[in-house]
Amino acid sequence: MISEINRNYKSFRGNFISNGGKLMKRTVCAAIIAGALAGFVNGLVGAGGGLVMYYAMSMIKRSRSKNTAKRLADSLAVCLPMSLISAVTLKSDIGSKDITLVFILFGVIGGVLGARFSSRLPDAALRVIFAAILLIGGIKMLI
Amino acid sequence: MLIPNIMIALLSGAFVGAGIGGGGIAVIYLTAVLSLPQSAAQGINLAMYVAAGTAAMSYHIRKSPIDKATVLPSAAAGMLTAYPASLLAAELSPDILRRIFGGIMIISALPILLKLRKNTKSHRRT
Repeated sequence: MISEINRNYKSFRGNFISNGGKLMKRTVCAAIIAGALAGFVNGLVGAGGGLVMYYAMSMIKRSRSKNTAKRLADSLAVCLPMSLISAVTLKSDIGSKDITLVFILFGVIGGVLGARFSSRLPDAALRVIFAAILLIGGIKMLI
Repeated sequence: MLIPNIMIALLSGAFVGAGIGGGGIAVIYLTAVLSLPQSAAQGINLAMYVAAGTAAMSYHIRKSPIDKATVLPSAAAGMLTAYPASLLAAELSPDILRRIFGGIMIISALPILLKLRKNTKSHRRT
């Protein structure tokens, strides 16, 4: 485990140095600001961190998340740890264990299927679904 | 209600796995159809989000590595701000903030759709 972390750190540091410092530093700074904003929005209103990261990924020039599927997958990677923190703080509010178990079990199956299909779907279709979910979520928050 | 629960869990799990979100659908279903309180619905949704997201991430990482240079700093910064923001939310009564952000979400859906239109137009031209 420790050697794996060490290896990851070394490859991260290697990227940092080999890709010419300035642009890389800018990328990391922009990523820190975007992540801090995403975490703040997610913590404050309970949603929207993914949206902040999606737009941030498209603005950060050096980001390797070029297509929509990759951008969404990377924003999921950013939002997971912050959602874990929120889940731990809301743990005491979960009432029905049966419903929770059904949602976790079938959510995992759906999650793997969604991950598989998202990379196969055309970019345009994925964007339409994303925009539709944004509209539904936005209307729900307005009401 | 087991079958509708399974269907909604699969659907919202799939949206989470694709990185689209989909928490909205689960929360709407849990509060409107099952009449659960908002906080319980959010708790169930978050538990599902973490489980489905982790399972999906293992697939995404195997398929193509995450962009460490942006994901790692963002995730670390996000973890630092998420907790104080959730404490602030408890103090502030974030109804107005939620409405403002709801408006932002609706507005931000438009550029995604507009870009789509532009792309189809340029495809037609070529």
